[in-house]
Amino acid sequence: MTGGWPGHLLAVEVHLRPVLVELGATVPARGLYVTEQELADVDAAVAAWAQAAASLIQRAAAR
Amino acid sequence: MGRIIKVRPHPFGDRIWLADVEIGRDYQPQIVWGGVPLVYEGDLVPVAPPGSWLPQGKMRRRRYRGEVSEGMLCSLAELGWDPSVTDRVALLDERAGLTPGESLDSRASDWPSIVRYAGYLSNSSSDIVYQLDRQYREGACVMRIAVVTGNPKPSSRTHDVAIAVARTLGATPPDVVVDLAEYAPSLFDASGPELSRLMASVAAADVAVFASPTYKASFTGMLRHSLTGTAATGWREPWRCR
Repeated sequence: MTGGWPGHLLAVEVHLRPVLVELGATVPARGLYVTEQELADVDAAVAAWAQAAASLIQRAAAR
Repeated sequence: MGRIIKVRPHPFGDRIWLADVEIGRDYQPQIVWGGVPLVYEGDLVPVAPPGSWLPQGKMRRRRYRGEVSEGMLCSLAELGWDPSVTDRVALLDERAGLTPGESLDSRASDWPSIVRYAGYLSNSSSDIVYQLDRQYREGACVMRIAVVTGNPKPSSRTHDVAIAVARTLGATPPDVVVDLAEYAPSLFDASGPELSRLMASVAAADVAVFASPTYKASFTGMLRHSLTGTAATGWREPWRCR
């Protein structure tokens, strides 16, 4: 998710994740929240998140 | 186009390679090039046999250190498809249903649909392309990735983030990209088949990236509606590689 204020960064985990899980999705990694400030360098924000997340997701998909 | 049957080093040459290529005729021409191996057995590639025309002129048979080269394996630049991709042979996607010998002339306008990870090639450094290629070859499975962005504004920065996430996860461009704003007029039409169709294509992917801006400390109603506005089918099936 994206947003202006870091105070909302749990919105991914608190609001979006339960809906996806309820629908039957496997959600193996922490959600990514990018703040207004971080949008200036999207690739850096995504890369930092992907360090832990990418392999979890790829492994889950490769079962 | 052709299929690489065999690649071997030149008997007397350093960093010169020979390949036998199946091109749907009763013989398999040998093609020679210098540098890195570039292609492997089984790869589907654009081939310009002697006598064919490329934007830069007519292909001729040539000889390299005693070995005949009957034509050339083409890069996107040589085909005239993308001038920025000069230094490697365009590898064709197995999923495009091409057969050796088939002409690619009519595919020039939609070349991204037949070239592997086409969305990443333009202006990409060769080490990135090398990495993509390695991932593609080593991956026992290539993940199919879907992207769904629930921002009422089309082509938003949120959508850019979602695309960046998909690029980071996969070796190939996302297979399904849904920027929900583009479907806004029909999205909330309960009788319309649009949303079910979209979400069925998302459910068929191995990995889905859902993106939303923060509205009222949560995700948007647009994304929520796309997730729960239809009877989601297929999600409970285990997601698996093709």
